[in-house]
Amino acid sequence: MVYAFGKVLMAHFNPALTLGFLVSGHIKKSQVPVYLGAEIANALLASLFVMYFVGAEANLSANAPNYSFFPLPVIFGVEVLVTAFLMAVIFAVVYTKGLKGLSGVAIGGMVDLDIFFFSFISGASMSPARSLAPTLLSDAMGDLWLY
Amino acid sequence: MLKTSNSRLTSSQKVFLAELAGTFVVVLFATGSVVIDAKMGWALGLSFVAACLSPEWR
Repeated sequence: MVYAFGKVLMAHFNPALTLGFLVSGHIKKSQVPVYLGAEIANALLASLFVMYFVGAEANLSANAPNYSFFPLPVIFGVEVLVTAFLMAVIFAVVYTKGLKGLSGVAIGGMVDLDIFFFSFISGASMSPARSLAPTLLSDAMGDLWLY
Repeated sequence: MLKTSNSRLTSSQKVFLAELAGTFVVVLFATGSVVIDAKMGWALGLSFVAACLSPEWR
């Protein structure tokens, strides 16, 4: 997806990254509603697709922090950290000459590592849209604020 | 001679359409993989979830 759409729009697919790119001056304020609207609308569509064609198990994969083993500040910190890791890798591949061809591998690798090492703590959503859609559709709103 | 344009879409429209397609696929794989794993009694595990999601970024 990064390779397919990176040239068109820098391939955010994630409201957290859109805000990061706004803060860093890569996109204009006027573009933010376009990005956020598209991301949230189609995250909802994707979750609806999953609900009707795959199933509604596990609250449609709504992220669930592990309160049994970790206190809230740790969970919150980990979620901030995983999103920051993703943003850092994206900036690194965007700004480092010669790495652009590896952007998809690097970003995909970071997503893998975040999921492997941190999903058992905070759920490692990394994306508010990915958390919002299944949470809204499965009515499990309790921890949505975290993401 | 007719003048042809490479694209009739404005840049905002391109952004919107690409973001629509990209977010749909990423969220579909991110959530669908977990739901499939849950359906199979969590037999597939994190590797399956990560493997489903990361190729979408690559």
